[in-house]
Amino acid sequence: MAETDLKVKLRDDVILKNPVLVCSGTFGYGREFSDFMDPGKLGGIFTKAITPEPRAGNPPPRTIETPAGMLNAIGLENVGLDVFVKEKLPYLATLDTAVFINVAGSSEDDYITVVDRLSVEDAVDGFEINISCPNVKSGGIAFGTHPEPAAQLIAALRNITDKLIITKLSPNVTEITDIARAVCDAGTDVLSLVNTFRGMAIDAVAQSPVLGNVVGGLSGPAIKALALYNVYQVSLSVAVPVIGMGGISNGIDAVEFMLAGADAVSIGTANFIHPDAALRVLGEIVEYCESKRIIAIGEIVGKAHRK
Amino acid sequence: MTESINPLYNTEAMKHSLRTTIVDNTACGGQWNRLEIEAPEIAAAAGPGAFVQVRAWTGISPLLRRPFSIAGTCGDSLIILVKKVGTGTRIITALDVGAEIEITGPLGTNFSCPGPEQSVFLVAGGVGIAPLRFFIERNPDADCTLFFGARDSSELAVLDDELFENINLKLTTEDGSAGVKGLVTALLAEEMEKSDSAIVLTCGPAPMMKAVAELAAMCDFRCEVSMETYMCCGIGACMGCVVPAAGDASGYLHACTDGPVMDSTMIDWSRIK
Ligand SMILES: Cc1cc2nc3c(=O)[nH]c(=O)nc-3n(C[C@H](O)[C@H](O)[C@H](O)COP(=O)(O)OP(=O)(O)OC[C@H]3O[C@@H](n4cnc5c(N)ncnc54)[C@H](O)[C@@H]3O)c2cc1C
Ligand SMILES: Cc1cc2nc3c(=O)[nH]c(=O)nc-3n(C[C@H](O)[C@H](O)[C@H](O)COP(=O)(O)O)c2cc1C
Ligand code: FES
Repeated sequence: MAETDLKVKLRDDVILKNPVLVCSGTFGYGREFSDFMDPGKLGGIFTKAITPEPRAGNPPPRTIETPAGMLNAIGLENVGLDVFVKEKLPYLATLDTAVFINVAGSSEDDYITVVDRLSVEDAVDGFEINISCPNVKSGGIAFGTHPEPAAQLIAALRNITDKLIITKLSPNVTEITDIARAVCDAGTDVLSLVNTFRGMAIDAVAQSPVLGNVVGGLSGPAIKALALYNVYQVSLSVAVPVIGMGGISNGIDAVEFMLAGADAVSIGTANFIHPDAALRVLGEIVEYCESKRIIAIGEIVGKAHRK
Repeated sequence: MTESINPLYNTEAMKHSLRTTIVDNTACGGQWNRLEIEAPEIAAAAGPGAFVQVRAWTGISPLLRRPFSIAGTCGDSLIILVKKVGTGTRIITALDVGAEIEITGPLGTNFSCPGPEQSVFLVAGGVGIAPLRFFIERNPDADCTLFFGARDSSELAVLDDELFENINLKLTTEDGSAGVKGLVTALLAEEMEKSDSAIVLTCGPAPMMKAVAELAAMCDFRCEVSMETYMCCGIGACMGCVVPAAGDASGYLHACTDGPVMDSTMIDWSRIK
């Protein structure tokens, strides 16, 4: 049997060689995983969020395991734009994979600074605009919870870059499809979802919150069903490609997201459990496709939709 | 490849992620077990201070790997000492010989090698003895004094190990059931006063290491500490494992890549409870 065609078209000029990416904040700047796997075999990489200036992040503890999941309140710790360009981008440029820069900020200017500077870099295939970080008051969530500010920000970025714009949606909203439609009208090329769900942990012995930041973002298998439904709903309401994420730990999870309407999937917390998790997921997707005699991966996208 | 600001980082060591088996698992007093895990690649690359990330269950609960210091090597196997504190450590300590286990390592920084004539004060709090045991194994000729603070006499079974036979031992227990009653730092302070110079290597609860670092600073002795934090990835990707950095009121070090072993002056102890 012929091998399944795994390519995913996000835009005419941005084609992923396969549908498996790795989530922002869970794969560092790529190099951290290079002892364990070849990151160049991935469909794409979302970098850790980049802000114009370096950020130290939130006070510890920043993470805690919860039932089948984990909370994080990293607070967008990152090396900042200049160091990223000098020290992190050159490695990413050597990889035969798509590189998407996760961009965060507290003002429109912050986003513009990062997108403007990195739009001239050949190694950058596009931007994932993070309007959904739940852990920083000024971490973009102000843009992500209402359609108008979200659309305004995306329109402003659309004006300054021709590179692919992926808008990352927060599930911590009343109606995610309203925001999805608004950013599509404003010119986003692709949507990615979900970012983490807001949650907390309390230490019963100390009688206080566990996380230094009190509130954190929940990720991992615990959120899979929630994320799947968000992807299902959003993909039914927009025409642009959707990248699905949230609790994917194996190939069948990934296939479920694609059946729910995701054109591609992204692996997050699972990278912490097995450093080669994303490539394992890819292998299992291929097995599934072969067993179902699928010629092109796009065949299964949205197949579970009941309209 | 990992980037670390700490010169103690073992840049030579290639990291490995293995699915392997338990060679031996024995209770060694207190709530502890000593495990031997077959891991030739990791055993060959590891230096004292390095840790591994371990997962010994399938399924999603517990979810993340658990970090343990390497306590030594035994041929192709690694030794770890595990104290039962929760779900993951209970599973690991109950594993049968031959059971499967996933292990990633060696990770993090190493204790520095002592100079030829240098005295070494090793200060262990409880299961913090693990990386110091590996230090002794790798530096058999070093002039070491081991200060060991245990909760009670049941935890002393870990010392029943030929490696500790030629070591100068100073024991304390919190309940006085063996050795001197009280905290290990009291014994350390006495010994420091008598000595001109020594390098101090310590691993244990944060308040103990903070006290050790303060003593070392007072006597102008170099001090290296092995820091424990919650960890997710263990390889510098999640930014979860932070330790407050000295000289930078809001800055942080990362325990998995800038540590776990750090020079104590790298840390802002005032921000550690
Ligand atoms: C670099 C490093 C080296 C370590 N070396 C050893 C070692 O040699 N031997 C050993 O027994 N333990 C060691 N630990 C601690 C060990 O990782 C934790 O005890 C273990 O992860 C707890 O898992 P659990 O599922 O049993 O506990 P959980 O059910 O997750 O938690 C139970 C309790 O343990 C505490 N705990 C959880 N994770 C950690 C952690 N990472 N550090 C400290 N406390 C924690 C929790 O606060 C809670 O009170 C080390 C930790 C680090 C970061
Ligand atoms: C430790 C950690 C850090 C994260 N950092 C970011 C970030 O910087 N930017 C972002 O858009 N999402 C970030 N996320 C969210 C993930 O990219 C992803 O959306 C989420 O974890 C859901 O996927 P998962 O359940 O597979 O982990 C982070 C998640 C984790 C666990
Ligand atoms: S444990 Fe992930 S960065 Fe240290």
